[in-house]
Amino acid sequence: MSETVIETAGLSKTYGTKEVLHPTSLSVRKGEILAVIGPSGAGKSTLLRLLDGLEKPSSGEIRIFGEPFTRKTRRKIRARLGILFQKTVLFDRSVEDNIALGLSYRRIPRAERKLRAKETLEKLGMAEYAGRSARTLSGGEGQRVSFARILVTRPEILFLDEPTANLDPLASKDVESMILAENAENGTTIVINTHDQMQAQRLADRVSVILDGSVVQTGTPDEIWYHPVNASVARFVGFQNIFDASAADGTVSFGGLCVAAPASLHGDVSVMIRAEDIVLTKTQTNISGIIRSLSRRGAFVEISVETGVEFFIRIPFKEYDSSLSVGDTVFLTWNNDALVIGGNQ
Amino acid sequence: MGEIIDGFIGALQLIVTLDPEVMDIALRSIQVSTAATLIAALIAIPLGALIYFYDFPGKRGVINVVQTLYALPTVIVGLVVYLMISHSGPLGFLDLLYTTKAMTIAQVILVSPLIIGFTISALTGLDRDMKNTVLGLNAPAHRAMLTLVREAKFAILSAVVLAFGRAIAEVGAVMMVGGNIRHFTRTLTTAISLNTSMGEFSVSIALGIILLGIALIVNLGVNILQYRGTRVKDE
Repeated sequence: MSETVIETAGLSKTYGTKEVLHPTSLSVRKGEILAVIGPSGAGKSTLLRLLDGLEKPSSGEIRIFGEPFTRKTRRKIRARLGILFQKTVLFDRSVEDNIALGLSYRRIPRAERKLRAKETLEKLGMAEYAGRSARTLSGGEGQRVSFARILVTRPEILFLDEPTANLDPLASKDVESMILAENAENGTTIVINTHDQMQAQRLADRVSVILDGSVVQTGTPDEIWYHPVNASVARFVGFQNIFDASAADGTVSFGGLCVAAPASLHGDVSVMIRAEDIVLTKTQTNISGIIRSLSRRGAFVEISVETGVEFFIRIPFKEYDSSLSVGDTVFLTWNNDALVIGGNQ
Repeated sequence: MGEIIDGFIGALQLIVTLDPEVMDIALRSIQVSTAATLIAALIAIPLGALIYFYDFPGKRGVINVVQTLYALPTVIVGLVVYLMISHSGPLGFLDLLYTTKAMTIAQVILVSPLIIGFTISALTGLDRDMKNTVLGLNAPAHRAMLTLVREAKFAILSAVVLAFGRAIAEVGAVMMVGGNIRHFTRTLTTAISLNTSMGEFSVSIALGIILLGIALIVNLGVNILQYRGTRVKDE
């Protein structure tokens, strides 16, 4: 198990009377990529700014590299960190001087600054941009230069706040490649905020879901997308079938259906299943229903089936039985591991 | 009407012939106000940057006070400086009363709030992530402020040029602490005031034209700086 490089305990932030980040405990291991996902305004950026010391916590503690991150230790620790924002920030100077800015704050001699900036630009395939005014760059080029400005300082931990949110898909891909390369080549620990769930899956070793200012679940991408801890996380990661249920004596009941559950479960729970994990068949199973609607969604067909509760099923268009129509009686089934039982928040 | 036309003709003659007294007054005005503006800028830009950079209790109140001082009446500044440097005042031993130094001090006090306030506004106008980026790059506070001031340079320079305009156009304070002494402390504004009261309209108009010319140059300077600032932002 790698060492923990970031650890928070009871970390919270309040603006005025509004607590935008509820007490949060989080740990990040050395060399991992942790993606923080959540809707806009959930508190992702606040968390990142707290971790980089740009905001003062209202309560709680942050430890980075095992040291408390306080006003006294801030500059010493921050020398080993880097942060990139969603909005490209370029200074009114040349591309090379933009890249060397962080080095000049670290009192690196001019000749070395120039050399390191040049090497970084060459690595990015942007060597010919060195003398150009940074303000003349395109959005994608600008964000790559902003990123390079941080990489050239050789950070051990990188905080990326929605780094590709303003970029077109091609430029996003370039920045994602830079992220993966930095992690693979230098073992840099990366915490990335993103609202792009596919990006989180592409990049992250682990994912934290933050909803309404609380980190609700942290786990591997598979755990997050296939085993959400509760209805809120399930809804956020795209589960379309979420039912209020009650658990007792090793079973869970919802909408007239009854499924097996761990004997330890009691009381109100949620039953969740992905629309693409439900198999629709004409062969009889113990769940039958009537098709209420059929609609094409790109390469998929979405079918709503009333069984006492409403199930949504998504089938690839190519596998769709075109003889199905509204009012038909159909049967549903799924693999045991497709059904998730969690909290009902 | 004839008086005005005669005044204009006389004024043009004074300007075209580079009348020594008119030139002496104009030069003194420019010297005093330039010195005052530069000193004020040296004090006010760092002060504005400090107020912008740090969060402290009462910050909003301080900014409000600074903005209120934009409209500081020049005669009040004159009165305060007079009381401080008059022979019986706490700084009387410096013998500053009725000198160009006293006039410079009064103008520094007058225009500093303007430069402080506009520096704060200019820095606040920068993208918030710019400050965070600089801090994230681990800049020491003074280097961070320098970088940000450099980014807002066009807006801040506009403020300095405007401050020069206010300094050179003010009459109350320099009259009170300078005394409007011929060949020593007489400036464009105090000379216009005196010559008008004496019926010397040609001199007043000549000085007025020079003052307006300076105002025009100042305004042109502000426009150029603002244009450059916007162009940089657009890029």
